[in-house]
Amino acid sequence: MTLKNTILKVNGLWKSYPQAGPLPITVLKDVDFEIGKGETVAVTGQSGSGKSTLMALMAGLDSPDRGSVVLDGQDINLMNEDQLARFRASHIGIIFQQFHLMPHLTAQENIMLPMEILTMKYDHLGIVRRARELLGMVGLDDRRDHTPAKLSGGECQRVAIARALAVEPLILLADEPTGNLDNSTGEKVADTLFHLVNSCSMTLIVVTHNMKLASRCQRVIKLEKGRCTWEE
Amino acid sequence: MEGVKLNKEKTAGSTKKIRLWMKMALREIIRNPGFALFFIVNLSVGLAGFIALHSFNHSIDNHLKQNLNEILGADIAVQASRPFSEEDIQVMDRVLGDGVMESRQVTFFSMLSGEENSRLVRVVAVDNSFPLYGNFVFENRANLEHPGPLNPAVKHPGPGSHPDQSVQSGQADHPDQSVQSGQTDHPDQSVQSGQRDHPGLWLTREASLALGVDTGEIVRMGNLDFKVAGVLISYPDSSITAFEFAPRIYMGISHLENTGLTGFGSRIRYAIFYKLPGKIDAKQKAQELTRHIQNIFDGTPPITVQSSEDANRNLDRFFGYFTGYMGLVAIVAIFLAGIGTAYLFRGYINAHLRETAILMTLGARRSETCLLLIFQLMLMGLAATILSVLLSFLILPLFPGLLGGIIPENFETAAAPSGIILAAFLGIPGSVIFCLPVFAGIYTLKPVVLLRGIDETGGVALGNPGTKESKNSIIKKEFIISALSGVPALLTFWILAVWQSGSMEQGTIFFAVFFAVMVIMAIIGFSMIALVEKFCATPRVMIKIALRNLHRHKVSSMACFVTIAMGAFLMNLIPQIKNGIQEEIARPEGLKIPGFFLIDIQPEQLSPLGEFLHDNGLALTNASPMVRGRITSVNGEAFNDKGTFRRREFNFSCRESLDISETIIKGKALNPEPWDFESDLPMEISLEEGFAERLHLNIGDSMTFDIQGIPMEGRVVNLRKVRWNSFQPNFFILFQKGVLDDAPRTYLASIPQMPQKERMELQNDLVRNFPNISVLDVNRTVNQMLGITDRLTFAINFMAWLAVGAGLVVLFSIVRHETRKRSWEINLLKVLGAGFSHVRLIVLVEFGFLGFSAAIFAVLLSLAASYGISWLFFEGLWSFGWGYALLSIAAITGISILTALAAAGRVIRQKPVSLLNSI
Repeated sequence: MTLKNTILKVNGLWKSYPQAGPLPITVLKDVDFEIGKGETVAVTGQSGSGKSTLMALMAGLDSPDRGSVVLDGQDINLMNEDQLARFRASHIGIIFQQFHLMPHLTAQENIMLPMEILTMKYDHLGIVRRARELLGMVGLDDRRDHTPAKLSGGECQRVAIARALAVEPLILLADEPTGNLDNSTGEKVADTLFHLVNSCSMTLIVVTHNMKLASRCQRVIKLEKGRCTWEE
Repeated sequence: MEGVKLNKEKTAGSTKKIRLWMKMALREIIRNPGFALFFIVNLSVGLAGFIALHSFNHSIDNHLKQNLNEILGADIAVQASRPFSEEDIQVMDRVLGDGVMESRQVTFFSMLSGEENSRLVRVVAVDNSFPLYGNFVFENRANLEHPGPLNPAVKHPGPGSHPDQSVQSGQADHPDQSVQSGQTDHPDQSVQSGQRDHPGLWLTREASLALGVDTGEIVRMGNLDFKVAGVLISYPDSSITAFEFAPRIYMGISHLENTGLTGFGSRIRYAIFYKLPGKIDAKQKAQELTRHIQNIFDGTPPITVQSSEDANRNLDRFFGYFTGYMGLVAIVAIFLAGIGTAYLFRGYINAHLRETAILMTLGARRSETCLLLIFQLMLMGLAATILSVLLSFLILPLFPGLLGGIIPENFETAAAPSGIILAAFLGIPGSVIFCLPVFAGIYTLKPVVLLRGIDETGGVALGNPGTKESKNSIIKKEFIISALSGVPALLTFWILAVWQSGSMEQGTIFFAVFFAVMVIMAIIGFSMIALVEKFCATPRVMIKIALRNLHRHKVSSMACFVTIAMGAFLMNLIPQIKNGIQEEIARPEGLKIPGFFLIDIQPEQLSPLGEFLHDNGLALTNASPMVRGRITSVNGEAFNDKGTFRRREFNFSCRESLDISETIIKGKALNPEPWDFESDLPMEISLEEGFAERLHLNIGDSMTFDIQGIPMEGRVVNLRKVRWNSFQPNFFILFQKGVLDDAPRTYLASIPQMPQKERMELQNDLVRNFPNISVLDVNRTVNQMLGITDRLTFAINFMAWLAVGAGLVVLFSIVRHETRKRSWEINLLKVLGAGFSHVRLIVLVEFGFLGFSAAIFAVLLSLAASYGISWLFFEGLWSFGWGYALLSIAAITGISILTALAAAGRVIRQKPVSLLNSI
């Protein structure tokens, strides 16, 4: 299936890991799909189906054995580590299940950090303004000077979402964004996430086994034993 | 234009980036005050001793440089053990040319008697030109008003003497206290007020106190009475060292003959001091004069030439031996500090791998994450440098106190700017260098860990799922990177060791020993931890868990074992080396120290002296003949000892049998039959082992001597160990019986101990009856030497404590870190039902085992290494200190357990709910 305005193209992706035995275990087998600009897609599957591995490959956090991941026309597997780091900084936003905020930074500082790393693109005042704008968008105006230890799980995840959106990436990858939260908080966080993504017309890929969250996406990719099947 | 703009943008970007990482680094440090404090304290404790010692050395150098000419008393000094001949003088005049000022000096030891006491003194007979440099400072101003110079105001005989007879030098510096020109204050000239028959004499304060005499009183030396013309506070070369074997007195050279002390066999040094005019290079002139003198005497002249720089070098060497040892101890402290900081940093990095991975996912390059860590290290290193410099300011002033009686009284310590620069180097880039191996964890880190988890316990970030192969390959890669990045740290340590020891060979061996010990410790640690697995099957659950922890956390257990073992090794090494030195300098047991030691006994005085002592209920013991002579060749090659003794004249003796203080360690005893002068066979020679080693002599080597103008040849047949501190007459070189029978000689002898109250009376009687014999009060000398060795020992201990202190800080840091790291497991055990006592038992077994086994192996290795180092650096002075070894095993085990319990206490007291929050 070929989409108009394809932003992400995954071609014949294979990934295996060596095992104690003679044969390696193959986690992903010839995974192929394309995602269009502004699409929201959920990747679902049972534990061990290869969801997180696929997420890692799409984010450029790991490299495949075979196949390619082409984002915005660039094959990320052809980039060296430093090029990939900078490409990731400017093109990909990542949201983790465990939030992964810098513990010693305040909420605002956490949001400022990716913009500060991309020094060429922003000036200091612009960074502060953008961070505050994002804090307002996720409803944490009054918590901007709090460190993660002083924030609740839901608040941490909202900070993580704001941080992922800070550099206005082309694509947002979320790994079980509500997995560490209770249902009610999880729903609020999901509301925030989808609201922001829709308002920015951003491409979102959510890796989850939460079917309710998956159903909020325009499309669902189901992984079964390393192979993907399409669902409407 | 576009390119310029792009470049400007790039530069601005780089500056912003550096600012960002600096800011982040500062935040990280502030956020981890405990770690930062331990890191800074650890490093600064190690650095402080090193900087203080460096500053002390610098102060010594400064002191020597400032007193360069005063130390020698001249630009050039020419010395001999016989009076200078006309030929000698002509050569000196020819080489040194016109315009030089000269001063003559004769020095020897003699007895000086006051009204009630007598004392061995070092007599310095000077002419009116003395001193050429420096000045005399007297005890009080009133004394300066004495009339009469030391010598009558007549021109000295001999070429080169200049007309100025008054004491000149230093007058500008101390116009009030120095002897004023024209005041005719030299004691050689008869004192003009009342006692015109008595020449004047200057005493040092020590001699004045020992004899109980003051200015104006009469003292006797040899056949002549002198009037004390002044008591000296300082004299030209008193800036060298405060310690002198016998206190010094100054007399006029023209009265020397009248004392009757310059007869044959008296050990007299003759010297002429020269002050060169204008800008003549003294060093160059001294070399030129040496060449000329060597030409006259066929390569082995009886005259030595010294420039002020030579004298400086000799003193530098004297301090160098002492500070060399202290320097190696200081390096040990730095090495310990390095281990501690690297270990702390390793723990810190492992605990922050997740944050590093987060930064990577946010776009930070690997190099930038490293930069962040480097900035942190440099900031902490800077803080450690500042703290260590402040600490060294506290330590440095203690050195003069520690070495009181050895260094000059006017010695002043000052912080060396180079020391601060060195501290900054060791503290700032040094801490990065020491921690480089730890960066391996970053090089193998992949940001994917954020999706899969981090194994923080082993310090390995798993880029891939935890399969055995992938983990092993990462460990292998990390090990290789660690090993390679450890090279700069080792190189720095090696350079420091070479620099401090002042020898490429010794520094390299010192370094190699440490490196070898580390490798050995790693092998032992690996084997120990592998062995632990065999004992995991115990039915006692808590012990099983503890042993399993050790085995399963192999990497951290190994690191802990090696670090504790290295700390324990270093902590033991210094005291073990010290044991040997201390034992050697302590009073020897089983050897009877004599009461008096007699020098310069003429052969014809032996019999009356024996009778005199017999009448006093005493006996003359160990009477040994002594003949002075020169070594002319060794194994057919001309003897030219430039490096070790820097002298050519030695004392030779013969013995019927060996003294109790000496033993043959190699070879056979000397032939008891008298040597036949007509025989073709060379005479037999016995050498003291240290002397033989320094001159590279061994059994079978042939040596030729010039004894009172007669050439003699001999062969070395044995090497002796001599206990010099027995205070019995001992010699480096002993000849076969009969060799010295016909040579003009004097005798050395000793008198056994006697009641204290009879000592001074006997000494005074001896001086009255035998004025030429020098009497050394052994008790006083021993006490004086023990006082000095006590001070040296204290100074050595002081540095050793610094090393031990650094070791303890490291130990505490390691154990604290290890228990903190296990807090998650401890909490989990509590959740699963383990009580406080159970958790305590696990900690106790785990760290008790690590501490105990590491300490035992460390002590064993330290014994071997200290033996090797003592053999290499301290002439094999080594003795085993059981007490300290056992104490350190117990202490290290105890400290490991106590520190672990103290550190774990916080975790033990923690509510298990923290487990829920520790994500």
